[in-house]
Amino acid sequence: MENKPTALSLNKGQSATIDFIESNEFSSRLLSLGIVPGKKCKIVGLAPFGGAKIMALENHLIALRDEELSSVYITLENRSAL
Amino acid sequence: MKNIALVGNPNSGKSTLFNLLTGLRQKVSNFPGVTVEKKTGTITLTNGEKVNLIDLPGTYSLFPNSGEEKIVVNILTNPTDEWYPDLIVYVADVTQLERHLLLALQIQQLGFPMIFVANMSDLTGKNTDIKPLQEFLHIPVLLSTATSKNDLENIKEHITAFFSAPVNQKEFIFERALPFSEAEISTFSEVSENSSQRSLYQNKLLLHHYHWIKAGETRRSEIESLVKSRSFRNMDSQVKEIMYLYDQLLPVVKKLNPEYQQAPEMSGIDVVLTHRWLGPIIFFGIMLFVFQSIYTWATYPMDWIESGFTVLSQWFSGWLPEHFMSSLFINGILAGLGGVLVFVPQIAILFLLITLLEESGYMSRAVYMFDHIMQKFGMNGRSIVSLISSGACAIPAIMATRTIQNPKERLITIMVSPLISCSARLPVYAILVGFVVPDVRVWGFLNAPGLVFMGLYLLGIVAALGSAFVFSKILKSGESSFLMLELPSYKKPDWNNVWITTKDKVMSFVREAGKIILIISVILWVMSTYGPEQKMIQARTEAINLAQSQNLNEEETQTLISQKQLESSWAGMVGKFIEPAIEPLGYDWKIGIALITSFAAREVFVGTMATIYSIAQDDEGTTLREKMKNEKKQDGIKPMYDVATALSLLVFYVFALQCMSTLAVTKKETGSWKWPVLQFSFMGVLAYVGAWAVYHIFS
Repeated sequence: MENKPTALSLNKGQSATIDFIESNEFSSRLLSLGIVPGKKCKIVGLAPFGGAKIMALENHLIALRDEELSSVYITLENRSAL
Repeated sequence: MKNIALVGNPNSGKSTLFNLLTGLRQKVSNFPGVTVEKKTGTITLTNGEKVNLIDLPGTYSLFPNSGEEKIVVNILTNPTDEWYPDLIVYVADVTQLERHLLLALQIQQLGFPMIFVANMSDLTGKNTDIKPLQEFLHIPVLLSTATSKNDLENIKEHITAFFSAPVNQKEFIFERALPFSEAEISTFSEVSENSSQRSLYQNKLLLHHYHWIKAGETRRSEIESLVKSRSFRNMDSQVKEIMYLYDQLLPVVKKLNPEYQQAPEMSGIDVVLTHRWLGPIIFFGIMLFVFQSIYTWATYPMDWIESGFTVLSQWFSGWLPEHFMSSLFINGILAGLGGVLVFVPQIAILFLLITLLEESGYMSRAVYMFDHIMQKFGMNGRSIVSLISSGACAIPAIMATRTIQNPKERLITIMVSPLISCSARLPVYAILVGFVVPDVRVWGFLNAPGLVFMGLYLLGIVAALGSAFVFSKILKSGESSFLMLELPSYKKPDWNNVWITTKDKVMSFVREAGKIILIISVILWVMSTYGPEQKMIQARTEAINLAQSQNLNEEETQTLISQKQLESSWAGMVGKFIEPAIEPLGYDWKIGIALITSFAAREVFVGTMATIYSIAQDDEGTTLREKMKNEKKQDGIKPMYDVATALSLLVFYVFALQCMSTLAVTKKETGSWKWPVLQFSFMGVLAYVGAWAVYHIFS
């Protein structure tokens, strides 16, 4: 599990597929915001003073802190598909 | 009367619907024990029956992260709650059904009858075929646009129909009952004797939330031991439930509106508005506008209110007989009322603008941009709006902290906002700054008093951030801090919502803070007008004798009388009494009196000084400065207002909470006297220590 990439490792413009959400106090909130395994996500913005990023899902945007992004485990999209 | 609850996600258009359904017959209060707004009202159904309607806070699921969301769970799981609903009107954004259906399914597990309103924020959802949704949920599904009268009537008709012949929805709901395992069922049924599916789910929620849920209050320790003995895994079970519900609802959503399954992207507007450096620049541009409106534009209506009250009190004093009661009415109550109403323009303008920013969807972008910086000081991205607004007035700024969900971050913002120099400090700074530096230029282009002004403002900002940092280390946090914020698509603000919010804010200020401000201002008036009878008469005679011997005209005599009487009043006595305490700061009892009276509002300092130095009210500006310049210290040689004393006073006014209205609002917003008292004390200590240090460095 330690080696698996999380959404924190995504750069701006990079897409991925969500694999699973770590079980912690934030997981139900992340899930209810539509950050659900199987969905595609993309990092589309970096906060001006750091610490947070904007994740785009199919038709909505969610702002997440770095530590929140690190509970979202992902599979990077194929480079060729980018 | 029957209860109907409006339930839905944040940004579902729920509050707009509430405003439309209740119109102006709505009441805003607080949920008991917390400062979360509770909006209730009554609606008349198509058959003439009246029912209660409550707008429950927006929530994402029954697994809450914030106090607001907990309220929803508490009401929906507690049949003895006064607002336990007979019917739920569920509001969802038709373009965001995937997420908005989740809570609806959870609520169905609790067995509530429900009407599902699929809200269209724009016309894109017009072609949505709701049939599959209706078949999936087994409840009435209504498409609605907030602006359509027909849709509103349609909702009311469905509510009426439900109450005239309640459909037993229960049998439908549990078609999709959560598939509990044998072990789970045995655990859940141990929570209560009732083991229907409906109460199994209710029991499951009790196990999840046993440490705070109201419905489990009396059995807390039993439930806790059950959680431990059966090793109930709270988080895993939450994730499992949500995943199961998503599996159920995703295929339906796909069928409903396939055109929304777009590729993840951000709109062009957002690329600019949240840009790494354009974003903050635009934000500060908007804040400059907000600041300008409450700092400059609000002064016009404020002046009208003030001069209106002056005219009114003149009219009354000409008309009422000279009597203690007349004086109490005119100088105490009427003046106090004026002191309350004078804040209305600033509150109204700030909330008008903030609601526009919230409604349009911009505010969540600002929160995201400044989250990290404000987090370092224990605050929230939203705090920055309050801190900037404090530069005009702390009162609307403190009221604006309502939207900060984390209680600790909100409290810190409330506590430190009054440290930012507000516009009421300006007259005080203006009169004193001349004693600190001469009006000369520095390096050819900078104005020396201007630099001191800037220094004072900076001092306030540094103190606010510094104290916030200290508070963030001291205060305990009840709830964990998180961002996880939805950035809703931009919308045209709904003017009805903007108007209602602004009106509510103004009314709640006048009602709740107004009382306290009125009482304190009457007390302050009594203190500065009355004193021990003998002394007051003596002061009057002395003043008249002195005036006669100096051949003063009537106006000068009156001014002299006010001066002598203020000196012998209770306020004067307290001023003299505290002299030993303020002497180390370089103050005498005259300043002491001004410190006490200016608790009403900082700018009163100037008026009191004018009275003390016997200056007619009309020309206090320059004349007062002249008089103060000639004032000598006790030795009779050194000037009273030397650089050290003036600077010490300035620093005192930067820090001290010399404002009863701020205290009243902090009391209103925190719901207890503990926080305003603490606020007054910590700012007082800062002021005392700061003034003392400055005085000793410069003298």
